[in-house]
Amino acid sequence: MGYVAGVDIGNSSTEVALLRRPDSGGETTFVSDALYRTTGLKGTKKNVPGVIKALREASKEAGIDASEIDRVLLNEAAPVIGDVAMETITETVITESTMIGHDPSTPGGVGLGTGTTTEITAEMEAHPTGEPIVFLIPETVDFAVAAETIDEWVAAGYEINGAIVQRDDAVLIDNRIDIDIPIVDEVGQLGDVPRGQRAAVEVAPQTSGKTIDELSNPYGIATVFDLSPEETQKIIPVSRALVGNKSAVVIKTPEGDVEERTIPAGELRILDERGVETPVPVDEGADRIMEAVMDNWPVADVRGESGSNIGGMLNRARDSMAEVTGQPVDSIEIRDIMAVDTLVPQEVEGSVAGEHSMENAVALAAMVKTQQLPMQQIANGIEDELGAEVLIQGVEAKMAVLGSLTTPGTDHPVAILDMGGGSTDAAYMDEAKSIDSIHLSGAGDMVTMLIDSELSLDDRELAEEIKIYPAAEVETLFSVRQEDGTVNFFDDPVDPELFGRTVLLKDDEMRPIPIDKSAEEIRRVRRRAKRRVFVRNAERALNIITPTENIRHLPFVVMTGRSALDFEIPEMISDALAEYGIVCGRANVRGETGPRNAVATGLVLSHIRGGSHLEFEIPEELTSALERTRLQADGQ
Amino acid sequence: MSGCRGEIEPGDEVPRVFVRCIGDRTPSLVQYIEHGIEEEGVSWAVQPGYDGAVMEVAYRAAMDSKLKIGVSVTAGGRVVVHHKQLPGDDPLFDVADPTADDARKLGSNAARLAKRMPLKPIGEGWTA
Repeated sequence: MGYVAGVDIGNSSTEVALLRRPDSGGETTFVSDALYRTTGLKGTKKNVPGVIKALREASKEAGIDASEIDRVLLNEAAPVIGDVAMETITETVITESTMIGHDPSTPGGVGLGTGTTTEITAEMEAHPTGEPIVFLIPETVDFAVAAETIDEWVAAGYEINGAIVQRDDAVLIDNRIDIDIPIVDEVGQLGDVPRGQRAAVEVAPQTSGKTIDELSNPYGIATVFDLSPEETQKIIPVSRALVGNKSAVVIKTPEGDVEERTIPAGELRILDERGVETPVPVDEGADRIMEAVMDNWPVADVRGESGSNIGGMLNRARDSMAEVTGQPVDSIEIRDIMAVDTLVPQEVEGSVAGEHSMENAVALAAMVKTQQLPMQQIANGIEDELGAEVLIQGVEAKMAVLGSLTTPGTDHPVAILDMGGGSTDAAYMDEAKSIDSIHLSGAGDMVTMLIDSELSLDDRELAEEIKIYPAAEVETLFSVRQEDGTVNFFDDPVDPELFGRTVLLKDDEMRPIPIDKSAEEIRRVRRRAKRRVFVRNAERALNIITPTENIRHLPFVVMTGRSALDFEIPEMISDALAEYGIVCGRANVRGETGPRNAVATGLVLSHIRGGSHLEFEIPEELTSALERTRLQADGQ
Repeated sequence: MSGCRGEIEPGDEVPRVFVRCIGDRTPSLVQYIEHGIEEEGVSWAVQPGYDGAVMEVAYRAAMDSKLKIGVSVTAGGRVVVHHKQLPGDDPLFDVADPTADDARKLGSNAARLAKRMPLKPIGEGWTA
């Protein structure tokens, strides 16, 4: 009895498929599989402990000792790594504090009021009665005292048109005064609000469900402050930042100036295979970049401007690949980039209450390629540990095709889409069973980056969880409402910490999302990010890999890889491809492991020439271990 | 957003948070709880003159409240916030001698329970 193990070392996980081979040459059987976290960077000697662990796990499951494995098959991992970066291309700067655009949960009163900003502790005599006033109420003044003071000034003939309050007191003040004025509260940096300046305060009617409509409109602000057309152009970022708020304050200061600047993001230079260079300015957006990439396909290399985020990312990716392979940096090439336009909330420079404005940014993923990864080092390491013969059986993409074809209902010609964290790979097996493959940048990690920045989380780990778990809202102490509207009840009350919050449904636990966003908004951002990376890349990859460069000619598309396990990505791609009339679905390798284990299974099949596990004969070129390896192995 | 102290009028149909004081006097802490509820725009009623265990009084108040939310305050300054659907001996908050700020937050939280809004942490963290 002999045992053969196929081992697939991926970016994040190492997978094993274990096959029993009777000595008599009878029927072979897959007896177990295993999955373990990849140790170290893919393709380095540090992978060996992870491989050993995974092999031990598979042996245990099969009820044998790891020493009984007589042959271990490695794949030659694609020598590519992906990296991601974001470049903001606009920036809003307010040189004098001119707006308070935060959204306190309970502002007071209603309407729009304008007046001169005046400290509530000011002496009445120092002010002429004719001048309308907006009061500033610091936290040192009790709300009851503030309310009394407002009534006193009104009784003395002053026109009080609004108030800006430091503490969460707006409703308390509103309930205690005789007049009806808009009151905005929870302005933490009240000390930064300029005194003696014209201000407009607006609070939307609370029971109407409406948002403010004057200060979020540039002409509304122009009307209030009597602005010239030139001045009106300058306040557009202010009005735009206030859209959707329930309350807002705009203060006009004489030196006040708001500008929206375009930050020079540098340019990308795309080299095609003939060495022709196409420069693309990054700030012209993702569509221009992608157009240039596809016009110059196949891309030979991409260079970024040093000093820009994107230039830095490209260099970082080159450096880490050079380190893994021990090859000189200039022999490492960037063979694909993927760009996506995005909006990033960024704190407005010069704001008073932490206001954000949506800035344009370009997210970029790069695919770095080198000649070959040092797989032999890994093979030797495993041999030393286990004493089994180790072969580098085949190339990753080809093995993935063999493994995927064990999915019930598939046949060749077939295209597989391997959607991982760092890259989206595609391979195509034609009628003659010859296989072609490509690696594209842009996959799970890019989706995580888009979620992270668009929700302004600044927490990759949380963004990753938002990507893979559905959101829900805790509506009562005993129930949650899921994204699709269904309600679930619990036997025990939820933690008070979770009440009223948006949470992630993570297996059996609920994790609160520490931002003020509804489940609906989170779902929208999440799905948009997935669509723009995966659906776009699926179409791009299949168009390039199909011999006719026309997706419609593909009969079968099989999805594999980590991102094919996602709860919605496979459906989104199937939906998008359905219009081309293609059968597209998630792999079910060997009819049992789902989209996992395709490469590991493919390695074993390649070694045993298919056995009874495939419907067709595997061509000679797919069954022989890679030449350089065999020489080495035989020599030992 | 109306509050009232003492007996509510017969026929009062306004859904209110009931704040019940144990003993005949209304502890000064109660005003801060009221401010918290008021700022959130929820109606409430303060009712003195109860006796019994603080937990039971709060639970009873929650049972009587149309909002299903009850608060009890002892003369010694212990505050319990309860909800009708919770087990009687397991209230949402049970805080001994809160600061004026925390008392206001307890009031806010009682109101936010009715509004289905996230609650504010009390003191050092979550006290349940």
